[in-house]
Amino acid sequence: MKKTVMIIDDETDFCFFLKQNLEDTKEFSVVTVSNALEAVAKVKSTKPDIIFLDVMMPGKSGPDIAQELKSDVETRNIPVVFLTAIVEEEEVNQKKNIIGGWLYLSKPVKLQELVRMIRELTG
Amino acid sequence: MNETEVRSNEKPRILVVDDEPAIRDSLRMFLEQKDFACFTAENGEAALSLLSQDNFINLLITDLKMPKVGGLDLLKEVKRHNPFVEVIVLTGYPTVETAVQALKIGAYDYITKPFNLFELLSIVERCLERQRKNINKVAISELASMFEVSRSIANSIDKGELLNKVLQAALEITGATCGSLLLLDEQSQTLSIKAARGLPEEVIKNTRIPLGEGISGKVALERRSICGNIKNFLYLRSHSENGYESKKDSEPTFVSIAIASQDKLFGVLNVSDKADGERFTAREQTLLGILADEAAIALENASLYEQLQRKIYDLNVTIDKLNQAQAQLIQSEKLAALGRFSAGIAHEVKNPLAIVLGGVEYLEARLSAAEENIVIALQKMKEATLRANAIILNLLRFARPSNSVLEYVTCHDLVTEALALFQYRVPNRNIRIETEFADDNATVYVDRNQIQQVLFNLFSNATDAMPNGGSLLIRTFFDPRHSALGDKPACVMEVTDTGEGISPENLSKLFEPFFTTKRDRRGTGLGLSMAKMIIENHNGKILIESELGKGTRVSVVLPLKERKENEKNSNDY
Ligand SMILES: Nc1ncnc2c1ncn2[C@@H]1O[C@H](COP(=O)(O)OP(=O)(O)O)[C@@H](O)[C@H]1O
Ligand SMILES: [Mg+2]
Repeated sequence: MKKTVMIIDDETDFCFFLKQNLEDTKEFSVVTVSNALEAVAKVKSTKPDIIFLDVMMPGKSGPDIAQELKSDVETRNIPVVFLTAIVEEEEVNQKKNIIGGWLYLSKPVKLQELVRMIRELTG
Repeated sequence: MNETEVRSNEKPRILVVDDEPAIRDSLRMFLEQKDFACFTAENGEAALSLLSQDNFINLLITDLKMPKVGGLDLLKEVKRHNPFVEVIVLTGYPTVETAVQALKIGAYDYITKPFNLFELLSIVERCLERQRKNINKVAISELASMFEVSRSIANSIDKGELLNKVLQAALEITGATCGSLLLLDEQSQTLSIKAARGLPEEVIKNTRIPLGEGISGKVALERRSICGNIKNFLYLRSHSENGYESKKDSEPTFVSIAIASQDKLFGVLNVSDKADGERFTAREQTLLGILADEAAIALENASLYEQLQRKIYDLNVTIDKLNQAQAQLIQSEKLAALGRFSAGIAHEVKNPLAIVLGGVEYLEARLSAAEENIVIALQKMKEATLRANAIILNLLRFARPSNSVLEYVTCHDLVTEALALFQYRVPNRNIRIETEFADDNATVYVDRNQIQQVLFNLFSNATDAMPNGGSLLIRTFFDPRHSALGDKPACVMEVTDTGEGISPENLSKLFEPFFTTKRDRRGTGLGLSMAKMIIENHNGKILIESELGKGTRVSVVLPLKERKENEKNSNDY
């Protein structure tokens, strides 16, 4: 069965291309959410296998959403990866991908990078 | 020296020149009340026209900044017409240059506005007293050459030149062939020869006369003059025998006279051996007395001038320091602003780049079977997008840790290097330096120069805190979980002194830029604030513990960062 990938990002164009590109691989089905306030409900109804989450969004921040998901038994086991354009530390660039216990990918991100990450986390 | 004073029956005449009517009037009222005859003028031009009507004055009190003819020009003009006129300068803004200039041209003193009338009165009285002495002692005609001399003395601010001029004048006035001018060394309280004529070199070099000993010593101590008949007077280092003092009215072969002002002893002027073999007349002795007074004033001016020079120098040093500090602040402020700016830009630019990259990849998937040109075009677009991203990352890297050069280095190396520099530059002031190095090879990833700058500052502060000596302990160690870094592994460098310590209320201000308790010792108050900035730029912490009277410990905590095997900076985007 195809893995379900959820992308939560207020940039609808970004969501659109990412969805198309991932689905082009035929490995995944993709659900996008561009309204941060609807994100948690959408996760619960969709039950994705992995979530890519933007950091800065109007209404609700990525970390807040992640926190909420982690504290809910229904959603706490879904892997969350931040996708962010903010560059806080060199680690991000060095692809260590972990800051404060969360996984990160830096925008812009290459498709093959995303695919590798999804396979690793849902494998 | 005959010091009888003849008081004039007439009231002393004082001309007050100032462009502020309030000052003119209040001074006139005050001086008239004190029984002086007082005239006023509103500027130099008015004053000169008043004086050209043959109005004799004893004293001129003048402002410096006035419309038309200013104070300095007036002073020059007045002195040229009548060198006996005493001048006191009033000045609103006491710039060093004009004050010195006024004194050089021959002003007796200067007083800054606003002034206290009684202070002014005492200066006026002292000034008139001097004039009375001078005028009463000597007939005007005899003074003609004196004034040439005194003017040239007043003009020389260089001490060596001044002393030679005074001695030269003494010889010229009296026709003596030998002479010496001794100055007092305040510390050792001895007199030594600073200018001489007709004396052998080794006498000049080796003479040290304690105050009170010999003729010169006695003259100096008692601030008076002695004259008498002694052969080879100047060659004698100590004149312990009595009986050299000449009786009143007999004409001596030497004169020794103190150079002293009201409250300060400068030295002694000696002359002997007149060319014609004659003795020194009473008139010549009086002239020497006046010369000694002139010399005292000139020496006072010279030392004032030196003081002012020193002040100017200090001021310039301070200004330089401030400029440097300001430049540093602007620099760090700019970098901080650039850092914030770039981080903001990066975010704004990277989001659209992400969309572009997504779009290109979308097209790639759909056009993989298209003609080669299109595939190549998409490939180039993708590369360009990634290059734009790399540029932004570079900009961030440049802006953030203020173009520092980072390298892996052990704390041991940092400390030893900084210490070597410190010991080389700072004389060992009775301070024992001890070091305790951790024997691990834990490294930090830092800009070597910046961290050494921090350590240097900490060492300086520690030694500053121990003016009477003490011990300075420098320790390095590894802490696997340091609380200051959120329990992350840290390398710590500790600088501990046994100095005066820091009071609790100062402890909270240490890192404020410009906070210093060393105003008198040229503290800048920037050492610790710079240190904090540098250490925090390295994601470290700087901690201070102190106990008044016991000592201070400063800890620099830096994140441990081990060098990885075959590490490369793989920042392809
Ligand atoms: N080791 C120390 N012992 C006592 N006082 C200290 C020590 N280090 C710093 N201080 C206090 O902190 C102040 C600020 O230090 P700093 O920023 O280096 O500026 P500066 O040394 O120029 O005054 C000092 O003036 C001093 O009062
Ligand atoms: Mg300092």
